[in-house]
Amino acid sequence: MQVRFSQPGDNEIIHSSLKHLSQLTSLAVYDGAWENVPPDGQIWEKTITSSMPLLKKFDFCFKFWKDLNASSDINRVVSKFATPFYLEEKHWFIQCDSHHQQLSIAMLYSLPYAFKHLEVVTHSFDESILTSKDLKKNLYENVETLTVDVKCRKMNDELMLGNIINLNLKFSGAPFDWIYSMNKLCEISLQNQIDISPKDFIRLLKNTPHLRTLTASYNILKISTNHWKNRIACDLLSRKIQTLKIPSDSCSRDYVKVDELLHIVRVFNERCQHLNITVYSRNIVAGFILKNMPHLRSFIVRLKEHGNDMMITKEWLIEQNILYKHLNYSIVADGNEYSFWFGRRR
Amino acid sequence: MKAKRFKRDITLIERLPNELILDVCSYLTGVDAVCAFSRLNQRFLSLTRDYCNTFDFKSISKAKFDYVIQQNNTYRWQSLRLSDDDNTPSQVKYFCDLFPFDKHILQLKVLSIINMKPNTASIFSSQLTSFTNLVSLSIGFICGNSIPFLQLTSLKHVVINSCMHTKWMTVGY
Repeated sequence: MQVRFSQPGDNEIIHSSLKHLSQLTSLAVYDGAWENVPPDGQIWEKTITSSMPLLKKFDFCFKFWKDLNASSDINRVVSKFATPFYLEEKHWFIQCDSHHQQLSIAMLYSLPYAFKHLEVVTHSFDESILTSKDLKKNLYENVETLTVDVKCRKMNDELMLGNIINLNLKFSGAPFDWIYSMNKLCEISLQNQIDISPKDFIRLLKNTPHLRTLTASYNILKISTNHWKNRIACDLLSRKIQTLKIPSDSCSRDYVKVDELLHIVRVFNERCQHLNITVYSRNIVAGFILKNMPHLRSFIVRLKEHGNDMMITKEWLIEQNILYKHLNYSIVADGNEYSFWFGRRR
Repeated sequence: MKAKRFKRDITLIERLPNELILDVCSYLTGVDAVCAFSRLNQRFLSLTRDYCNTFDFKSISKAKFDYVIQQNNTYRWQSLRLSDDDNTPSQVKYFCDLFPFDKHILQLKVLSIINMKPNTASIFSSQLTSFTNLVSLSIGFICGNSIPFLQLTSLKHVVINSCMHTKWMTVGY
């Protein structure tokens, strides 16, 4: 059985529910609510010995808030998972990653890490605490998606050798050199605070032969290609990117303007098959995007200017251009968001 | 002489018995098997219609999707995966509009619908109890409040991606 929590306090239900599952041999718990208090190894030990005597496999990951309380002291939290029950009886070992900042998010998880998504909350994996010194290799084999929330100077070597195909960079500032050693990446997401120079961007694109999906705001794309003037960067993007997502940038603007769209279409129209973007009006969709991106297979667009008389429908599209009558596609509207799914074009 | 010898060594794929063709198809996904074989001749068409019953539509192209569902044999399907992701936006709704669940796919043994939009999810959850043959079910994203009491006796494997309304978890499964 696998359970995931995302809201603080949700986990309270689990200890009472587990009482009924005495036959359970394998349990996985992922608690992503970072506002939680630290996990209590003692309570888990009690629940497992009293309610789940047959439990052989217990995979878990608890995110929690580390503050100035004594109960948040990392060593104390880890020691509750280092009792004879965990170490000798069950052979369940854990690792705790935390940041040097006093008030920050920490994470405690069982090894080998059992889930597909790992978040990096520590500034350095050298500072992590483990309950076993000699664990076998391949501790992070299952990780496919890596989200880096903080500036992590020293990354875990095991993690870099793994199978990560999806990378989300959420920290502010320039990236560290370890990002260039992940050669299996297929998807990269660059959040707004990241500061990546054209030189670093090119290096990243060159080191990821399987990269097909990119998520980045218009600003990031503009800066990392030196205002679309760096030909090598633009060329690499043209050749590699099949799926492009431009999320709304809530700080400065929330849609891509027409002059900006010109650059996007110019660089990406050759290979881009899947596009997710916010534009101003439906006229741009019909008159510009659909016309100039012939390889699109799916298209999700949000309109800034929207209303009952400004909706996109199949009939309206045909009015704009009679050729759309013969286009094979399905369109679904959800408020101001339209999802197009195209069959064979031409 | 050389040419004659070469000719004798060729076996046409059509000469292979049905069992071997189906064995070959078992190495392909349901979608690929249908797209590859069903257009060749009547014999292959009926083979794929009768025996290809596992379909995974995640990240599929619309052209292939339309072709497969055109075969109109959903009543024979055993395993289905649908997804509303970036490559196939609104696939679930598109499928539901063409094949309302209560008429077409209640015989399914394995069902996986991931990344559903909320409106589709609420329609679907009310029909969940009718899938009495299900052995494996994976659904998301679905509101905990709309999950009915399920009494699916064959169900062995469940993955439910739900929201904070966790009351349904306490009901005995």
